[in-house]
Amino acid sequence: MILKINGLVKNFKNESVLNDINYEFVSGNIYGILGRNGSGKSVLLKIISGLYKQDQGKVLFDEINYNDSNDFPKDVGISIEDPSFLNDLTGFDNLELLASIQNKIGKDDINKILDIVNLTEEKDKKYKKYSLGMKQKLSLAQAFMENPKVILLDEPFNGIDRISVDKIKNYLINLKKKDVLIIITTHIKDDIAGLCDVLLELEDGKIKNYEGSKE
Amino acid sequence: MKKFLKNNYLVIIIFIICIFLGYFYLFGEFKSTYLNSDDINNAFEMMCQSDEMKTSKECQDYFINGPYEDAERDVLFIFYYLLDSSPLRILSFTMSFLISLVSLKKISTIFNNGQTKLYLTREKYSVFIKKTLLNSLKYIFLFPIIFIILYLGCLWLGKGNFDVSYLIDSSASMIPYQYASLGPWFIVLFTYSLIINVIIYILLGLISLRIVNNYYVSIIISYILFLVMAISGEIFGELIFYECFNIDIHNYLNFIGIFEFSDIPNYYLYTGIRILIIFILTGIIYLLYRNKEKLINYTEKKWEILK
Repeated sequence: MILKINGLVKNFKNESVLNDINYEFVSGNIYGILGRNGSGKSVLLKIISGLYKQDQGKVLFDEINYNDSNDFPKDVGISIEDPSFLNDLTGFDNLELLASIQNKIGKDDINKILDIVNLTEEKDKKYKKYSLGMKQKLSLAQAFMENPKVILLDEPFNGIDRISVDKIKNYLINLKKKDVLIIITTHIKDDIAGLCDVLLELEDGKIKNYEGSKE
Repeated sequence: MKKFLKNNYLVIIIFIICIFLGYFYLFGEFKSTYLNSDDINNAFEMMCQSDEMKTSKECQDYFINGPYEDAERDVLFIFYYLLDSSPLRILSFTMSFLISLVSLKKISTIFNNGQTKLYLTREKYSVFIKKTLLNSLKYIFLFPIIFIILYLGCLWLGKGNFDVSYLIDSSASMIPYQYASLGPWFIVLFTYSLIINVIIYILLGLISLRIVNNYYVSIIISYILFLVMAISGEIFGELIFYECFNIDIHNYLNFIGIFEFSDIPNYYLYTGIRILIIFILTGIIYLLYRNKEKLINYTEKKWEILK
């Protein structure tokens, strides 16, 4: 799988958020994109996943462009800012509801993924009783559960305990070995240090190789 | 079962209240006022006991002819009274509110917690939006089913009698002869027009939900839109069509008196106007919901006003 971004431009009103982004992401790698708050990391992931539409440019998954037809790219798992589920359903039921849309996986697969994100004990609790970290884990679980070929994660380790973070990182490394393409955005370099094969930086609407801390 | 009750408790409450009020009226007040003769016979018995009244013409007639027998009324007469005199008559101007209450609940939950994004990474936008909007349209059958069940009560009380001569003779009937003469088929016409009106209410609700992303406020806004439509109907009917062009279609544009069929001799025009409104509202909904990105932005922010 090759995810190619060509001349991507996105403006909100008169403000330029992404300005002529060109990059080629290749499966079997973990990419980390660093950027300060408001640098456009989430917008980039939303465009890649087809939630937002770019003003110019193309996003091609193995040369297929989904974005022009209000479609969604197949086999993409995404965990993006403000994870939200139905308050009155349990964590498990929320995942089951989402899984029922594509009908690719069953209850066993859901249980397996809940174990990977360390949420098995809380799976029968109602979502409204979840802590911030548990909500984040559930968001990651829904991104992983349907065995996607591309995984997009926005600030994935927010509020998650160290043990669970390590477990999830190991899982991501295993997925990479299975030729899955993983893109992680964050504003904290330490979160993804040692995990990513390629470290990029999003600044002034452009993407470039990370050149180290400027502080 | 528990899940079904939890998801549909509003529908169940409205259903039970309407059926209870309808049947309570039919077998209580209506039956004793219009069908049973016990009250009138008791009154004569009392009155004619006194020496003064015994010789009166009324009492003499009563003694000769005997007690009054129970009256018989046709099914449509009873149905007409149910619509016009029972507590259910308030539905003509509260149905829009109640329909928004039930039809916006689920869709509002989906829009209000940012879950839309999770759906849209799993299905096409067109499929998602069609599925979500159609979900609210399933409530078009709530009130038609309620009225069909109440109609069965009328059928029971009227003993299946569709001789509508008494109904036509009674003053200010809401059901003119051309419709009353349909007999048992009148309920089909009534149900059809009810469904058309309910579709309008649901579409108004969907428009209001895209104006403000809050369940309770969107219900209020949808009711305000309904009132605006009703007032506009009056203004167009009275001031523009009648005053300017001398065309009297005032009753066809009456969106509050949905149970009144008097003064609307042309049923096709009546439904045609409403179907035209449905097309216009559908077009507005298409414009409001066609942009995937705007909808996602909108659903991420509570209390967001249209943008």
